[in-house]
Amino acid sequence: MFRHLLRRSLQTIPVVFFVTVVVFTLMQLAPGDPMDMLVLSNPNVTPEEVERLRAVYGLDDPIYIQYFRWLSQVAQGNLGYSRLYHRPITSILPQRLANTLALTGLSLLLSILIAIPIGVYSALRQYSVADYLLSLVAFVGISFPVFWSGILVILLFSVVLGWLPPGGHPSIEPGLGFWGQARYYVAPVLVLSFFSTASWMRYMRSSLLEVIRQDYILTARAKGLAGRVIWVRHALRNALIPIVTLIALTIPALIGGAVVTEIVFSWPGMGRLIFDSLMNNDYYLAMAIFLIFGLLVALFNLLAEVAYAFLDPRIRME
Amino acid sequence: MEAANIPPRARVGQDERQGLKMSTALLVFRFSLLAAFVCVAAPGCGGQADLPVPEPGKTLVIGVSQEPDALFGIVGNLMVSGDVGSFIWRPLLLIDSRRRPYCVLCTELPTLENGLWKVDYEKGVMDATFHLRRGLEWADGTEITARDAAFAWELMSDGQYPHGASYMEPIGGVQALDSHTIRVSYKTLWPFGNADLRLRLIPESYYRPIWEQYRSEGGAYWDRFLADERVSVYPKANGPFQVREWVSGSHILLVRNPAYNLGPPPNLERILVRVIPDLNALAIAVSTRQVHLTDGWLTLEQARELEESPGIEIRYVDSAWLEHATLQIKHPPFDDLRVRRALLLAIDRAGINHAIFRGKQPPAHSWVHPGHPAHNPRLFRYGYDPGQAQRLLEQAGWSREGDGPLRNARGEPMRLTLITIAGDRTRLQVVSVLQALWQELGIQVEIRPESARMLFPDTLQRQNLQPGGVAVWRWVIQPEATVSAHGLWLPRGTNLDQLTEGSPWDAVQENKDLIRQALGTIDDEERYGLLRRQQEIWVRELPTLPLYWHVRVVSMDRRLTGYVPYPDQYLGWGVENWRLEAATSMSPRSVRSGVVRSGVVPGADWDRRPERRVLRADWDRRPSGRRSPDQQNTNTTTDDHQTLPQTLNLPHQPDPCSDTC
Repeated sequence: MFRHLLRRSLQTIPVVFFVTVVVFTLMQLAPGDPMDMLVLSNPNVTPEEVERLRAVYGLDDPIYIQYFRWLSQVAQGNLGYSRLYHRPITSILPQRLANTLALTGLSLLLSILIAIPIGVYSALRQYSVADYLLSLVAFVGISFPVFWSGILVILLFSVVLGWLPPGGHPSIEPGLGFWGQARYYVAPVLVLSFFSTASWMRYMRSSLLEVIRQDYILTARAKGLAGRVIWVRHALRNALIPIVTLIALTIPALIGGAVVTEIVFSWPGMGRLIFDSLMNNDYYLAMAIFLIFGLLVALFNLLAEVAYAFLDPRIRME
Repeated sequence: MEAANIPPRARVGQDERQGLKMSTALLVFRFSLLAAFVCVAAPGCGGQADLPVPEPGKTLVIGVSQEPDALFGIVGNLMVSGDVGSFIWRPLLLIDSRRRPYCVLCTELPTLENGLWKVDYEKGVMDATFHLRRGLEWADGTEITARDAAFAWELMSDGQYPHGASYMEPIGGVQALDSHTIRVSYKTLWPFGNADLRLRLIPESYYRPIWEQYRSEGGAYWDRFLADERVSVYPKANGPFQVREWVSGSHILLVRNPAYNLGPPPNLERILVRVIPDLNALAIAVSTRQVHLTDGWLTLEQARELEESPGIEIRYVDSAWLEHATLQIKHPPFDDLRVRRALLLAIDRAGINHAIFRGKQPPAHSWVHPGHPAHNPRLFRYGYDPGQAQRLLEQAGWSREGDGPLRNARGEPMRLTLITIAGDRTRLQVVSVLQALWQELGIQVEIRPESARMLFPDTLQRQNLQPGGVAVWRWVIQPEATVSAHGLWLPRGTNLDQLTEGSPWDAVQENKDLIRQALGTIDDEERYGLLRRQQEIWVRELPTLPLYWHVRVVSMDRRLTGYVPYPDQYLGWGVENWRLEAATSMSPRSVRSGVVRSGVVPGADWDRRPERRVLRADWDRRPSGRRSPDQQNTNTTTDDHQTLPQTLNLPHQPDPCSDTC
């Protein structure tokens, strides 16, 4: 298994390399460059001055040279300098990434804890009133855009009920205790998990309904196994396999999907950083973010494979 | 179903064992996540600073929608950087509430009369001398000297200065004549020699070693110098506050600078600048009084909603932000003056102001704001006259049959594309009205929203505005209100028709002469006269279509007193006089979180509170004279403006994102 993981890890290197090449090229081909900010801020600036500064920063080099210069920096652990924030990227990213991972991690946990039991319950009580009701809630969750549901949650819990702060990060109130800090997490986690809970619940329900129609479930019943054993050990376990794939592949999308949630709830995560870096042609910052996203996708794919091996003994990592 | 899917009986036992393993693994997994949650939410686990809980009444919360890019006094691309920086830095000069320059670090403004401003008309050069006040200190306790001004000049005239060495044009040098005397030399005559807000001081004793270290390493040394936390994040400055904590994307906490001795210490102990990117979330934070002050972020629509909120005061402040339509005037159909005039006559700008802006954003008639002393009140004003517009188009060779499209002699229809910033709801409303009004004349009009990222660098600067394209955007007019043949804020390299040689605007020889004369005329009144004449040419030639003047929306918690917003002023210049009343009637929890239940907001009986009277009294002292309470929420009228500041401040650029991002 270790050899398999190592092999798969090594296979991610060309994938991530390819992703960075594509992203770097696309960013270079997009209109504008980092010098636009200079041009906008100084009405006296001459084209010659812009060209000279472009040369100082190496922006006049061919794309491939700029790319390999960036790659060589990254290989040395230097993600570069953000022209937007005038700071080394390594001083910005870790804090933002940690905030985003905290938000997405908690929403992932909440989604799993809610979606799987409810999906199972819905499957067990197929076509019951509860099943219809839960399906309705799921469709509502899938249909509501985050920027809208986010504002609704703020209005309800902050303005009307006054229970939660209307956005922000607990670091703005130093010295808060556990519950004081937790209050800042509640609304964004709820909103972020709403969509994934709804969709995973539907997947869980469908997957379980498909599994329980399999012949081996019939066999298990025929041999007289207890209902709980059939559901938990045979049906649920097999039904979880596609769900694990789904969850593993959704996690990077969840981080990307946190952009809107973070903006609505003023959460200092990666979301706003992506937006700002792209809007302001901050190449190195954008590249660092996409590099991390690429690595996360590769990592979670790997985790999904590991999870398969645990869930399905027919899959062997040899 | 396939038989292969049936697990062999022999493997049931193995399944059960692995099922148990799986359950254990799931249990461990869930427990780990739960532990992660506890860790994240627990105090101390997230790396929080060990700071006391902000004391009500001593910590002011300011809401901004963008994060500053840097807080080093001489660098910053965003207006928010200037706003936050104004709490931290005090420059040589500032402008007062009536927009006149006054000395902050100096003892006396240079004038021709007192001999500190010397002009050599023959050589076309000049210099201004400033004497620094003695005994002033930087935050590290070292004295502020003339060498600090010379050092700031050294940084700003460096070839790698982030805003370009040309930013300080036409200054030729800044010298320290002695420990407290600065001489600023100008390469050409420059009418703002005693009001040049670009002049800054940087503590040389603290920053020189850092600067020299990076400079000696070569390469992009200015970038690396700026990337040093001591420079752009925690600057050593001379303002009433200094940065205590900057959490990227969340907030900046400012605390009192103990070495501040320029004036009285501020009443406030801390200022928390909260970054709230979403404007709806910002409005909610204002309405729940979690944010005490916003300036220039909220929209008119949000302001209208907040006017109803008890405990919140909304003010509308005039700004020299001109909404206008850029055209390619060297290309058909806009190369014909009659067409440009017809398009403007066909816009009901007063109706737009009434219907969309509730009368807050009046039509513009030139690039000079009516509050500016150089404004020409006798300018021709293009009213709404679709009949006249139709006649002008017919004279220009554009006619229509019945309700058909407007066509020229070759039978080609007039097709225009209205381009504006995507996501800006107000602008989309305005361009929709423009579309409808122009379509009534038979013009085919398409609306194309573009992101700010595309509109400014690509469409406008790199001349990708196609003939027939009409770009509607905001133009920040600098306080000196002068223009050049090359452009207003747009740089020399810009290739817009209206700003290039040979355009109808550039081709008027008198206009060229006026531009040259205005920049070389020291006397204010004489220069304003030249600018008034130039406006007549503008109105005649219409190089762009002026639409309306923006206002800045300011929201203030009524517990805050002392803040009086004025045009062209950065937020923190008068912070020493601000005072925040503690919210004694709020519950402890509400005080801590800032959350107040709707309907039970303390201060709902605000009209009886003394602060209201203070604010009104303050307002009444403004030059416009008395204002009734009902006028509180109307614009500061043009009568309010006596003089405008005469030069630039921190890098002050049109902010393409502030309305939309």
